[in-house]
Amino acid sequence: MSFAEAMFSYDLAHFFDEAFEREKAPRSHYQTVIEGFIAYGESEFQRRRSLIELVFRNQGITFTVYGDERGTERTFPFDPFPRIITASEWTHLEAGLKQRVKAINMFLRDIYHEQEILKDDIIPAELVLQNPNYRKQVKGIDLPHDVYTHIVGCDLIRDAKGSYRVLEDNLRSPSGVSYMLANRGVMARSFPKLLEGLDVRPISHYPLELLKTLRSLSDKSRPSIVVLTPGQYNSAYFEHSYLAQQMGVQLVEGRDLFVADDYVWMRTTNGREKVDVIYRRIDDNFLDPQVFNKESMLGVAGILEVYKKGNVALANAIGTGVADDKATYAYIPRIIKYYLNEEPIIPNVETFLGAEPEGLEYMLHNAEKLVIKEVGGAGGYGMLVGSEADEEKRKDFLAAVRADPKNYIAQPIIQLSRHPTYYPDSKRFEPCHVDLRPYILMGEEITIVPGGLTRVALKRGSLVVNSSQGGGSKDTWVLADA
Amino acid sequence: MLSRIAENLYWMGRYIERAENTSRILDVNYLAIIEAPQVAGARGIVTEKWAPLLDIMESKEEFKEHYKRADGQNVPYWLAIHPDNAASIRSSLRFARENARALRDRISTEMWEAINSSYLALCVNAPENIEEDALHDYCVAAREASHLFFGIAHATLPHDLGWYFMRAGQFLERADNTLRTLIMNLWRSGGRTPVSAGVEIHRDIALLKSLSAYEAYRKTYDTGLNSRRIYEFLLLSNRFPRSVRYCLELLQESLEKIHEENQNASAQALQASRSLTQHMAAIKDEAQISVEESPSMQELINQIADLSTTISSAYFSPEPVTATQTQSQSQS
Repeated sequence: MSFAEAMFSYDLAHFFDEAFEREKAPRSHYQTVIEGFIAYGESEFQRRRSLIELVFRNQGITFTVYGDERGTERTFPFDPFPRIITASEWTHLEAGLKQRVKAINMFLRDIYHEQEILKDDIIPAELVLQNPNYRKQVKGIDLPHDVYTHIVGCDLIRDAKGSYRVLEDNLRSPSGVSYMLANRGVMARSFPKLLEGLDVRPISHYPLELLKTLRSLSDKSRPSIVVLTPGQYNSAYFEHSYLAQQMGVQLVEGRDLFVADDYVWMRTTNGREKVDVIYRRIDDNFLDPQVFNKESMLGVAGILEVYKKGNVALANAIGTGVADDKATYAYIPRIIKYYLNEEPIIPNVETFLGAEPEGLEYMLHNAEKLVIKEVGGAGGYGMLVGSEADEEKRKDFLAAVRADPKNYIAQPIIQLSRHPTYYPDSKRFEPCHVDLRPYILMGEEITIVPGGLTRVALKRGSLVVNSSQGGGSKDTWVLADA
Repeated sequence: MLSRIAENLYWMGRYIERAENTSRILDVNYLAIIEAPQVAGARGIVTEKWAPLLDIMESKEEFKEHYKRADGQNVPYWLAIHPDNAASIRSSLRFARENARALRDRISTEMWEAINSSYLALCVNAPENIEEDALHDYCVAAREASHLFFGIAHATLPHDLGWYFMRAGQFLERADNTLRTLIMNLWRSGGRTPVSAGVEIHRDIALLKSLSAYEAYRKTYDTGLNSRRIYEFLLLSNRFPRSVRYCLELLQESLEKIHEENQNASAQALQASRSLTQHMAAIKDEAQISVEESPSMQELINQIADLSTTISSAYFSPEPVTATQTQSQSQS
């Protein structure tokens, strides 16, 4: 079988395929890239592909493997077949994401101030106020531009019909943007002709946009900005140091900062230096040992008081986690409707709430078709995949749901769209499930660098795109208007 | 510059230099011992001479917790390789690498790769014992690791503020270590009274070689080996890179540059360093130190330790350290 044929031949099954309309029939916006790959020819393709790993390693674009004492790091697997998004698709996504983060920020402002939405019974007060991520300590604080989520990484998927849906909102400290940037750099270097052949919108200005967003959080003309990292042993340390370097700001750890005279300062060899804006990559819980987790060595004692006085800005704000909780997620469409009086442009994945009688009813009678999740669970715990569990297991789990219905939500088993991805062992492009994480920046205004990080489930048949579980990534190309 | 980064650079310099110097001291002692029995009547003087090293390395108490006897196996193993000895060559390299790891985005890739591969070879895969010439091999490897690292640093690291912090650590440590080596030598010779001429010469050659100073000494003096001249050379030379005076001058030079760029910080470290170099410059001959003990070598070592504390408080912790921020370096 020729190289060209290998690209066009896999069974689309019942999944939505990003690149192919029908078997061997590429979608029109993929035509040019496919022709480009064929033009390189197999041996040239192989040669260029093998250089990619080297580029990543030489640039030190790696993530730390926990528990490895030999000081080695792994590169994040990269697939050279780019994911392509048309101009009109992107216009739709951009509008939908802006709408969503706008509503979420109005919601956050409301629940930390007047709580109108709770009084109007749109979302149960208990769900918000009893949520472990609701930080009562920041109630009543006014933030610059009323913005809470300065950096958002929404996870989008496409269902079997090809409709985009939001799977998760990641409003705390989303990571991966450095891979988005690195992937473009690597594609431009390894397969320049492919990029030249299309009008792909650039993304390399992301660090500048991020800096602009952070600057807008201070009223000083030249605020002192830092990136706060948990340190070199954190798996995303490369990203923290990369972003700091690209923005030209200091990368600090908690122990580099201290609070005195109502301000946050950094320790330098030339004495203390005031800090105005902190892009923090540590969780609320670890931020201030005086208020949150007492054991935390990562944070800055007393920083909450400075924050309350408005003498330091934090990105993201404290207390955003309450809005990306699994149960709150189900209410986002209603939140959009409530604050903006609009229908959501990008729908949620259909979600049934145990807290609501009809949701609970559906859950109990259709368990075999559903994924039922505990609201506070994460990482696959407290979860029932209905189609995979036996009768007894389902019965036990449903008993737990009946006992505490409001602690559960259910979603149909989701089939992510697929995208051709190269496998060196079979020397073919095979279909892999993908998602998309665009990065939305919100300061004085909302900015979205076109595209995002496309994550790929590299394990054959897997739906899990996480890097810790064998996921990889692709460059993501948003086409400019023709 | 962030205090933490400066502190990492300073200690990275100190620890790598320390690994090198400890290996020099051990190696010269080892060579002195294996060669000495050829000299008639010398056996009692130079064999079983490992115990005093524990004093010089300030490691006696800890050693006693691990071993009953200070013999030719236990002492060198403890000083070179034992993981529980925070001052062993192995521990020094491990600490150096930890500091370097925190500086990954600050130092060159080549520097990182050099220290990381030395760490893998000498720490992760350290020998289990020091039978035969394993100690010598280990010491040579540690010395070469240091030379490679500082050589790469010189050629790839911008000679900016960070470079001067690393140099400050390196030369402060080296001055300290040369003094310790000289003390050890004095002790071994039982003061300045030679037992036999043969042993004396043998010892002098070993001392010079341990500091890579044999050839440089020979080129500087045409008078043959002479203990006083050797001490003069190692304490007071204005040219030799391991002499105490020269190291302290290089240390001052680094602190001058550091002060230039950190005018807000306390100038105490620079002042202390200047007065130390002036003090050294005023010393007329080596006997003032080695015989009259004014100052004694131990006093000089103490002054250098004080200077390190002053550097620390001037640049690494300019503000009071709070309870949550005490994760700083384990020192000496």
